[in-house]
Amino acid sequence: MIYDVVVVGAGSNGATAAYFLAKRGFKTMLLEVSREPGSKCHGATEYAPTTFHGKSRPELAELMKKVIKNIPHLHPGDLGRGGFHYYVNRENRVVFKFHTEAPGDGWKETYGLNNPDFVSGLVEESVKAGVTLKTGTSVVNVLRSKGKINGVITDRGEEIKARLTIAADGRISRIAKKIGLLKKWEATRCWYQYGETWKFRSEEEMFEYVDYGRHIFFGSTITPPYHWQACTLTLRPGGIVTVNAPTSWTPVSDVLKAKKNPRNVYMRNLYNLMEVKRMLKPCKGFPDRPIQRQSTFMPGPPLQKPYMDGLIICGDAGGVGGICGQGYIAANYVAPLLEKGDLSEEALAGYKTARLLRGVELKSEHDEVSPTMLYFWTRGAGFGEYHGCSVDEMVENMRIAASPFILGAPRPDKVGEFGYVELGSWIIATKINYILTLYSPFLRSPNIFPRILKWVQKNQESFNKNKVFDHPF
Amino acid sequence: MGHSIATEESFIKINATRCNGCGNCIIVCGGEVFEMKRKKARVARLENCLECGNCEVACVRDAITFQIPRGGKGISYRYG
Repeated sequence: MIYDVVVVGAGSNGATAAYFLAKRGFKTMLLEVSREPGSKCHGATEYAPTTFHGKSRPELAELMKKVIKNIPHLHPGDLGRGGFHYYVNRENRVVFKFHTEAPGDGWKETYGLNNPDFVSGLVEESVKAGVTLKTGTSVVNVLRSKGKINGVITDRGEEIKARLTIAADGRISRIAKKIGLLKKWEATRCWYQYGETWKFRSEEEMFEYVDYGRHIFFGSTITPPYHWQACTLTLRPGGIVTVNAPTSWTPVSDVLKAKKNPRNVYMRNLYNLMEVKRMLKPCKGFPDRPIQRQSTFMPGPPLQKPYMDGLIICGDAGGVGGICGQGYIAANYVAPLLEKGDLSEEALAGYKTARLLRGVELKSEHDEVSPTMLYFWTRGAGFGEYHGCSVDEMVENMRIAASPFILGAPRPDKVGEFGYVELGSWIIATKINYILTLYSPFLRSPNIFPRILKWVQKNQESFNKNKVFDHPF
Repeated sequence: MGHSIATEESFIKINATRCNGCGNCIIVCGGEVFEMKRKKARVARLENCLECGNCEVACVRDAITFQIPRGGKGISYRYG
């Protein structure tokens, strides 16, 4: 049997691609390495179908809502986003707010979900839509004939033939490496994230301790910085708390150069804070053993060539991340080509730009993960439009979120060189970047951060006078 | 809750002749999987592996090969 499409990897993007292709009537096979779909996904995310996709991809927003309806989540609009942020006001006092008090209605339809739950629900939906799912199967190689890829070989030696292969096998993509589209991930361009997950004895108990948590963590109300940049403590269904360390903006190469892993220092200092201790004390295993550790790469840099004759690389595997969005884009891009029957390299080449959000043109791989590009990404995601705020307001919001770092508000010490300082300076850099776009190549240099920090410290007084740290809400 | 299912063989392979003992894998690993023995890295606690692939990226000599373990093995996350 020859399938129209074989999708490797039943993650959020793979399953979404499979779902929409099956909906459009193509015979689709979905392969997954784990026995239970979703069980290789860790952590939790804020799912905001309306904010992200409501206007541009209503079909996808509908699918996500359908999935979310069937799985446990914290009530939207209450602790939907489940995080906290704080800022420093004019009197230099730290003020705390919930995420969900953000302007606009977008976050009211935001749900804090555990990723495994969401992905398994999504895979279920795609099976209902007619996808053939095969779990416990890893792909060892692709099938080729006459230079064209026409399927995959599994670890049991089974050959699965398909007209098109979509490789959505995650950040460390074996397929991309096997077929030579990827030589090696370069340590200078790799960012990673480290987090820990704790569990309260019950959800009720978690809410009892929420007040302690307010004193410590923040995240911006409008991205960036999103939770992977900032340290966040987020509450999840089932009394689960995830703690993410702000190491994700440190390239692996910098960590190696320093000969130490900042997350160790960070976590140790974090759990020594009184407020954290009080909040996490009723968690199982505190402070020695979280129920889960997670360590992962952030997607990027995007592969310069995410396509081959009869194959495309989708989502994190191709270095462009996103929850479901990339799968949807891939499905939409290949559907007309499948109908026409033209799956040559030339026809699939357009996927390279189609996968990116509007208005972004790739110059080099490095561009894509620079602050400038991330900033434009979020613009592309329609945050500004959705919240009805200007670019300036957006950047302002980002800066406010980072101000505690810069002004020395309570924080775990001695992580400055990687975590806080870099983050804060980065946001300032983005602001300057926006004003002086001419200097953007210059701002990409890592040496700029200490200099910007100095500038901020020097002008701290005038910031306070000018009410710069007054939060808009 | 994350728990690890024992695998019959290691899915992280270290080429001992290539390894120069720089210790990069130990620095980046979030699960303390590696340890140094006679100036060579070795996999000491495979069951801790979080399957992120950091080690392969960090290895300057390309001595480490990381492969997501075969179906039904390795880490499995479950909450609630």
